[in-house]
Amino acid sequence: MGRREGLRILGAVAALLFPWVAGDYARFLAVEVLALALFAVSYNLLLGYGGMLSLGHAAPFGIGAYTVALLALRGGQSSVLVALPAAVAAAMLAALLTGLFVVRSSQVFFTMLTLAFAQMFYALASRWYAVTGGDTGLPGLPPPSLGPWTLSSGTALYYLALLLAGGGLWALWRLVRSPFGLTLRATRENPRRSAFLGVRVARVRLATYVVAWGWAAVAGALWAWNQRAAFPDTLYWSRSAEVMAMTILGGQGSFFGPVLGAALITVLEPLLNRLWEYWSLSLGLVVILVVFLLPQGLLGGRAERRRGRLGDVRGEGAGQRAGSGARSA
Amino acid sequence: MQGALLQVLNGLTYAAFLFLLSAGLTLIFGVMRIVNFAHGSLAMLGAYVAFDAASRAGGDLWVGLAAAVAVMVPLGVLLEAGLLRPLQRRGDLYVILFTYGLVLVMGDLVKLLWGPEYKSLPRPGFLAGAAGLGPLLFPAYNLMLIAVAALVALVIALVLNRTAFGMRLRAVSADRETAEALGIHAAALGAWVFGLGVGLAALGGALVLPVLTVAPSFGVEVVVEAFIVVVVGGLGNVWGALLGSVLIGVSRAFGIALFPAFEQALIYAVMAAVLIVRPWGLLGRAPLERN
Repeated sequence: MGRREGLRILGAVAALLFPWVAGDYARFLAVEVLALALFAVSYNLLLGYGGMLSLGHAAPFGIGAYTVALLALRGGQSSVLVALPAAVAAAMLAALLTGLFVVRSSQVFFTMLTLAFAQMFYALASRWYAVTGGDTGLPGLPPPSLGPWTLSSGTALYYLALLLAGGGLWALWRLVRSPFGLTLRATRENPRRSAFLGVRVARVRLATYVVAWGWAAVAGALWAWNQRAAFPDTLYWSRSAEVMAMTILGGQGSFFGPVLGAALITVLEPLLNRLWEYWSLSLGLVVILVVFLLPQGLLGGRAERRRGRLGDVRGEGAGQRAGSGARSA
Repeated sequence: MQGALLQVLNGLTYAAFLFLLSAGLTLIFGVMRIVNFAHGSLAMLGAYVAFDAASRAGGDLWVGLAAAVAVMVPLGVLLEAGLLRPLQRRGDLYVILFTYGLVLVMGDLVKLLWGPEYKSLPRPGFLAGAAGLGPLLFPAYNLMLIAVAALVALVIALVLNRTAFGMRLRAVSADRETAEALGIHAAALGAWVFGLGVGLAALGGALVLPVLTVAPSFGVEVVVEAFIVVVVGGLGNVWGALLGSVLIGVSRAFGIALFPAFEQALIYAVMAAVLIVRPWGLLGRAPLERN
């Protein structure tokens, strides 16, 4: 384990020193990667651990972004300590309201309804001109403040992002390894048997859904501070597609797979955009290629091998099992 | 009163389109147990093919319709047999992911081939005017659209209830395993149903070209509405799709007339209300459980 520890310390030091060696654009991109990594891991709580394929995860992301933007621009409140809890609370409330409809439904219904409800939030944001600014969104977001400090520099924002994304990843890591996380995986593997064992499947799913939306709102808030704006596009279905692509590219069967997927796609997007403007085509091809050629994602196979070594023998791949809920539900 | 009647007709026009889309979606689900997320995008592709063919033929809509169906039905069959069927063995998750990947690809593909602008076609000459319905004047083309959807519903009813193909389809839809045990080749049926469903969607997409405009975002916009329709009506049930289309189409028309900014919100309110009362949709049943 000595080498692993060493690599970890090296990684932590590199992450802490990064903003001092990087330029403005690299810092901006790094905050983006951190926000989207947290976004993708929160998404994978649903997909990988809960077997719930959501196509509406843009909704909590956008709710987080819009909450901090509205508080700052309409309420004059840009303190992280106020805006962030407000963003999380708003997304969790929305998750509770829509979750009551979506979590009791089987896989296919779940997927369709998440897409439909997310588009509802998009329709609200893009049409409700009086509050959300409609199509133009809410540009000109002031930098967030933390106590007496204003986090106006890219470096300060980077550290905020590192703190929030790191904290979020740590909390989610603990969650999936807690008894609750194991119960969640049991409901994914076999909802009926879990119900026989006394697990309240719908309640476990709802709790997961609400938690995932809460962390996605943190990611959305970070993203808005980094972009200094919130747009209806933040909520558009293509963002849900993007986070799904990140997650399966990295591997939904592994905890850190989505982080890798988020980093790759975030860095790839500006590079590819320089070559041609058809980002959604590239993303779609990535999704299709992963589905056919790399169904476990980049890190999924590795997680599988490790589980095999630990003696946690399972018939099929973890990713494959995520889909099996549909048939039994 | 007249205004309300006009809105009902407007709603039925849109319902006609929604039904052409959701009938295929719901039949495909019934037989194959997959939700085709690319259904709206395939309708959109059909619309672009129709636009392309019609523009070459001097704006003749009928040429466009024929071209859309002739291109999209084989494409649907090939898609099912070549890509979807092998993938189904891997799990439902991958099928959903794949059809969603198609959505992303097709959105940009039509942009690449036909540009990002809105596309539309003129109404054919003899349907260009308005038809009198008692005191009411309503575009003749829209009435034709409603009639086409009604005709399609009638044909589907006849095929499902009066033909051997329809009987096999209903059997697979009700209980796939038993139907297969009785010698029905469910997989081959799937390809046909998929092809026909895509054909209907393409027909719908092409038929609304003179009424709506079609842009690369069309696929997702309409598939979300088709989802709402089948969820409200009951997934896998054609009559549910018909009922859902009328309900959503008419709600949408009144929403546009009464609260123009939030017509979408009204549709979601209808969906939520139905799901509270009947979680499996108006005509749907809880799925068969089997482990």
